[in-house]
This record gives sequence, structure tokens and C-alpha cells, in this order.
Amino acid sequence: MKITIQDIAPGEEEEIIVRCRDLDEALLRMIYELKTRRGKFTVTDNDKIRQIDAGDIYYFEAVDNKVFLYLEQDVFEVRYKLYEIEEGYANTDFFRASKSVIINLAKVKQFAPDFGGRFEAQMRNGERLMVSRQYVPALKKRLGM
Amino acid sequence: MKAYITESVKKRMMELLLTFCMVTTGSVFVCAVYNKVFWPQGTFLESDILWQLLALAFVCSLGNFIHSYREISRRRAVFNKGLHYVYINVVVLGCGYWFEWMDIENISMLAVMMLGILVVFAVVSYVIWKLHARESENLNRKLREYQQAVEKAPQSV
Repeated sequence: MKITIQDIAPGEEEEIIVRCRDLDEALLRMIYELKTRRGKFTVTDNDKIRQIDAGDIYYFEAVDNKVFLYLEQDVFEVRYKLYEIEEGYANTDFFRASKSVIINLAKVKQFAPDFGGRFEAQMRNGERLMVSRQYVPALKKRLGM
Repeated sequence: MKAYITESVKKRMMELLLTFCMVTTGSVFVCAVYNKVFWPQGTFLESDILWQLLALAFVCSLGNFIHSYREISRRRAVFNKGLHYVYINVVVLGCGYWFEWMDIENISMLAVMMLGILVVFAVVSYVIWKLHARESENLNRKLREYQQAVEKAPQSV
């Protein structure tokens, strides 16, 4: 495989172009890792630094100007704003479901109808989150509807 | 943002139209029952009643604006539903008085009218809920397809 790196002009957007005959598993893995950028979040767990894989995160929630990430059982605070996570993980499994929540679509068990045109996202760990009415069109678009 | 607003306005208009059609159908049905109950021997209806029913359906449809697209709690959503029901009662009973569909001092007429409102409101709400449930089935089907596609691209190092 040949790797070519080109300089770009200031202000120009960074871009990665993959040229291939077939998209095999290795390439898919590489593309997915690139899309999730760093792919890991650094958190503090009892004074120890811990790396959380993005794929293990169920959802992010903003509460009182703090953002928390939720794993299957555990919760950790992260030092990012919700909009930063939304931008950094655009076009991945992470989807903005409401003003205060970003959910991992890979961890959603199913959607159920809720009051007022909203949907309830039932997560694989049993938790239930709300998909706000104003974000439903974006959800449909993300799922290809 | 502009595209989203246009999409949201379009959706609102479709919801209004759907509500208008359902309320028109329900109103005609209630009108038929009402006339059968209180004038079983038959009665003459002026053509104005048709325009009145359409006007009633339109004003009732405006009640959709009680349900905001802004984020609200479930409690508030339930409250809004109750408020919507009160709005419908005020509109229908108000029209009943204004267009002289009933004698407001006649308790049985009032009761039948309120029962009719309850039935139509319940049926319209049920239809909207069923449509919403079907939407969630479609979402779940697409979610499964999405998750199957994602499983082909491993998520961790």
C-alpha cells in the first residue's frame, strides 16, 4: 500500500482520500477509526487515568454545565462540551437526541413511541432516553429514511 | 438550518391537514348522531351547516399549535394534551352556541355534544398514536439495518 502525504494551504480543510479496488475488512476498520478520530476518551477513575473506547459508550449527557459519559454500568465526567463531541463524532454512531443527550445508535435496543411526537430510545443496558421531537427528522435521515 | 425549518413547517402543515380531515369526518359523524338522537323524525339542515363544520374543523386543527416542537418534559406534554382537550371543548361548545346547533340550557343536548367531543378526540388521538407507533416500527427496522451494517465495520482497536 502506498501512502502519500500532501501539504495543504492554510484554511484548507484536511481530507483523506482512500483509493481502492475493493473495501475489505482492514480498510473498513481503518476508515471507521479515522471517522471516530481519536476513538478514545480519557477519564479519571478513582484518581487513576483511564481510556474509554468510544464504542463502549452508551450515551453522553450534559447536566449542570458538566458532560458525563455513560457506559453499560459506569458513569464518568469528560472535559468536553456536548457540541464538541457532536462535531467531533459527526457521521459516526453518535447522534444528538436532545439538547442534553448524545446517544450511541449501536447501543440502542429499540425505539418506542412517546408523548408529543417524541420517541423513547431503549438502550441495551435497560436505560431509557428521550429523542426530542425536533431531532426526529435528523434521526430518520441518519437511519436512511 | 433553513432546510430544517422548511422541513419542520412542511411537517406541521401535514399534521394540520391530517387533523383537519379527521376532525371534519368526526364532526359530520357526531352531527349525524346528534340529529338522529334529538330529531329522530327527521329535520331540515341548511347548507350553512356544511361551512360551519368546515370552519369548526379548521379552528380545532389550530389546537395542534399547543403542542410545541421545543423540548418539554413528559409532564408538560401530558398537560398540553389536557389543555388541547379543553380548547376543543371551548371551540365546539362555543360554535354550538354561536351557530345555534343546540339549546345550551338543555342538559341532555350539552351532554351528547360533550360525549361526541370526547369520542372524536379519543379517536383522533388514537389514530395519531397508531401512526406514531408505525413510525417507531419503521425506525426500528432501519435501526436494525444500520446496526448490521455497522457490525461489518469493527468499532474498536
